[in-house]
Amino acid sequence: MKLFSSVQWIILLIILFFTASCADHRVVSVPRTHLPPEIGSPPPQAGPEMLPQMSKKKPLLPHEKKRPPILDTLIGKARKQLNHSRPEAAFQTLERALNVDGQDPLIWHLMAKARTMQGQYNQAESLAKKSNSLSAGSPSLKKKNWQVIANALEKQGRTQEAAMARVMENSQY
Amino acid sequence: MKKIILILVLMGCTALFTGYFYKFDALVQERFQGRLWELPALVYARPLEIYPAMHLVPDLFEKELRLMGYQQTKDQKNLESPGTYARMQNTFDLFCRSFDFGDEQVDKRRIRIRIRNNQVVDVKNAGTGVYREMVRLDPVVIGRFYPSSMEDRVLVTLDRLPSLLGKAIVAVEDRNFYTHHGIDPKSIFRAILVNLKNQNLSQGASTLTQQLAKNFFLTREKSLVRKINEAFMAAALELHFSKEQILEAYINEVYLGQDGKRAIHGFGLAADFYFGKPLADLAPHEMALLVGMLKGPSRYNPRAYPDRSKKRRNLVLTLMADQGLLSPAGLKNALAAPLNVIEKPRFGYSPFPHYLDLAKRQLLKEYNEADLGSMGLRIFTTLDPQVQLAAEQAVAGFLTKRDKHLETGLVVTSRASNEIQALVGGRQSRNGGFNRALDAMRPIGSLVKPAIYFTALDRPDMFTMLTPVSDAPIKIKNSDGSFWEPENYGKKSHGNVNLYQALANSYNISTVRLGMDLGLDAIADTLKKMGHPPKKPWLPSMLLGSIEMSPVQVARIYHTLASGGFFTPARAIRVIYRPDGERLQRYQLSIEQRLDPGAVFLLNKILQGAVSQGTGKSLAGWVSPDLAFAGKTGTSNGLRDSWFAGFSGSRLAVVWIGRDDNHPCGLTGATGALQVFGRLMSTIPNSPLVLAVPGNVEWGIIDPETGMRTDEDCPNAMSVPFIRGSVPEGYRPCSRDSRFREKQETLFPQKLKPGNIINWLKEVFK
Repeated sequence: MKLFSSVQWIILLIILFFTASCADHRVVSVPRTHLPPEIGSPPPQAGPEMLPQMSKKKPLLPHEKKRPPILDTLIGKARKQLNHSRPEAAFQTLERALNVDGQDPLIWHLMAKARTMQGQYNQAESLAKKSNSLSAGSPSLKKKNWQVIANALEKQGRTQEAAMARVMENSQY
Repeated sequence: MKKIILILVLMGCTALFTGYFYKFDALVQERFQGRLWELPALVYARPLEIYPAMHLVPDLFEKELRLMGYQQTKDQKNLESPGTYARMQNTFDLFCRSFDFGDEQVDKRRIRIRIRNNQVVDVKNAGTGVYREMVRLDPVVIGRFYPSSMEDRVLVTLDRLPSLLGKAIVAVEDRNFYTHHGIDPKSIFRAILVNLKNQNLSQGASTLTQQLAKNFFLTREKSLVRKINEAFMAAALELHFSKEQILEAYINEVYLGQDGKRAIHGFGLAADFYFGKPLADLAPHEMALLVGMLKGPSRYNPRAYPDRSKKRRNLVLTLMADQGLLSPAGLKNALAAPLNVIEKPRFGYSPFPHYLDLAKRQLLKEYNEADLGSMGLRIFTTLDPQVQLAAEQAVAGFLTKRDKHLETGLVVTSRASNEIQALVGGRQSRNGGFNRALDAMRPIGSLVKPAIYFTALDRPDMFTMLTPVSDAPIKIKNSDGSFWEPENYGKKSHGNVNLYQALANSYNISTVRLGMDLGLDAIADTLKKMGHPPKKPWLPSMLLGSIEMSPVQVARIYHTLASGGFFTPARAIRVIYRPDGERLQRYQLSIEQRLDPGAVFLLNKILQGAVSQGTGKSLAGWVSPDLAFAGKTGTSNGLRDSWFAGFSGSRLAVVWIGRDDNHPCGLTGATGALQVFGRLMSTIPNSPLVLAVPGNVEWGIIDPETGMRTDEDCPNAMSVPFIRGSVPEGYRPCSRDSRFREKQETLFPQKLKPGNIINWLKEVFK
């Protein structure tokens, strides 16, 4: 068993060295997790006591945040209103939701859908773009936004732009 | 012959009588066909919406409750009347008033709000338990737009009235109301006897219908002719309208007091004026007090003559009991009840005249002033009273004990929807007057710089935030042949700097050089896209902010940055309702992408740097760096104007400080406006500014000394955002001894070589 275990380790080391030689040529993407400090990041001294609100934790990116229950309630209500073809009421509900968290891309996406239902394609396009600008961590939402944008552009007769939006829609996984 | 004369006289009298009646009949019909009253517009703040996990500072919340006219009681057991609250440390018990929000009618209810560490723990209803949805509280009234008559009233309809009130009025004022035809002969006969006995006209016998006719059409003079006219009109009213309609009109018309120039008309307004709550929420003894006042609103004014008023109230209560309107037990309780009159009426004045001015200006674009003061509109604004109070305190806190000539203009908006939450138009903001937040047009100084740097960053083939730019002195020839030599603050130049350093530290010379390279047209175009095109002629001095703008206009252009490049028209009004409950107009959120989100992201990163390390770093004395504010200071020539514009994750604010006479105020953006901004933001909830990375942005690991890519484990390495494709191609390995190598062949510059064995292992096995 011991011998087998040693052989395993030797094989593993060989694999490691082999991959190491490849690694010199391998390009590695830069995830935003273990990088040097950002340009302009605050110096590491302690600030005054947070007044009167926030925790000392590093703020989460929009897509990392857990949605507070009240937002789930409001979003659920807006979805129902959309399903019942009440886009005006849904938009109103979503405006209230924005006061809770204006950076939630789903709220902006649903607003875009409401405007699509009302035939306000220009606004639908803008709102979906806004949602996209906040959807870095959510390719599925991006895909839906591009769908809304492509549709809005088609309805406005901007076919070339719509075709490009479809390409963007299909490039999301 | 005598018979003929008699018949002719009788016919003449009949014709005269009929003609006289028809004259009044026509008058009555005409009046009732049109709008009965000129109803002032009622302007509300945003209704406070409370939900678990919401940031809510107890002291600010209590201040808002007081502005709402809620009266504090000792404890929850004393919450007997809507419009009252009790506070036990950070737990609030509220007896909420009923309120019509337009999209929802909410009944009076008792709720408990528990707050811990400035966060709402839960909201419970005494009957139904924990709320799952937001709980909306009736909003603060921030003002009214009056008709020229200054008559004030809150229109009520019979179906929303407590039935007891109508019955009590009839019982006390006109017992035979439902049986007579406008005139009550028995009462008239009784009054004639009394008046003959006293030899004057002191005794009245007017029915409710006659009183209504008198109020609508006639003077208060007591004469026989007027009495006759009154009788004709009452008969005409009874002919055309039901008893219910007449009673409803009476309840809305009757005069019930005076508040300075403002005449208090109708029971709806009187309920609010004397008890601070809607008519529907009045207790029987409170209704009795108002009914008692019908005999003489001044004589029985409960604030001026509480004893006399109470005596009259108790007489009315007894009458009500005699008529079977109150049970003996109910009478006993009502007689023992205190007057319950609030000390100060809610609607007497506008607590926020400058904000009211803003709302009015927005409305006057679509309505004329006469309609605004007479249509009885209910206008829901976006004002957040807690933010407004904090803003006023921040201004007062800074300006007290300073030069009395210093003035200010301040505006706060929400980052997501650009709703104007607060507006301060001067140091004496409660008195109104010149509204500097809207009308003080002042040079914006360095606040213009972000427009210049955005214009550069929007050309990623030429500029990144690390592109070097010279800060060496420069001379620019003016059109008249003279030269302009811009100087840095402190009259020092800094050699070669990069865009990041130049903006974060607000260097003037490098900014002018950059701006001249980009072209004034391009800068003007950016400012236009941001929301405020500068007036021509465009001169080089525009690059250092010679452009004049008001705080609200500055807020508009900065909001486009705060929202990631999406222009969002600012809103002070959400919705307007007509008195019948129909929605007249909604002002909805609309957005338009004007600037590339990637370039805005880079710019906002620098503006965060300006606060954390640059000219705005004294903000750290007020708020935690964790909030990661982005912002920019601005100072005009000769220290005449001190500006600061900045935003967190949830709010944007712009502050200006200066003098009306344009003399130097002696303050820079950092020593003046920023301090007010800091005071304000330190007292209201803010969420951290987390900038979402747009799809066209990528990161490079950069050696700040050389501006080239380097290894991520280098001690001085920094993560720097770039517009995709603009990461520097030059690469310098971490070791200082390593030979510099240019990696021109790199195809994917954003992708880096693993820095060390640990990271490399992470990469291999991830």
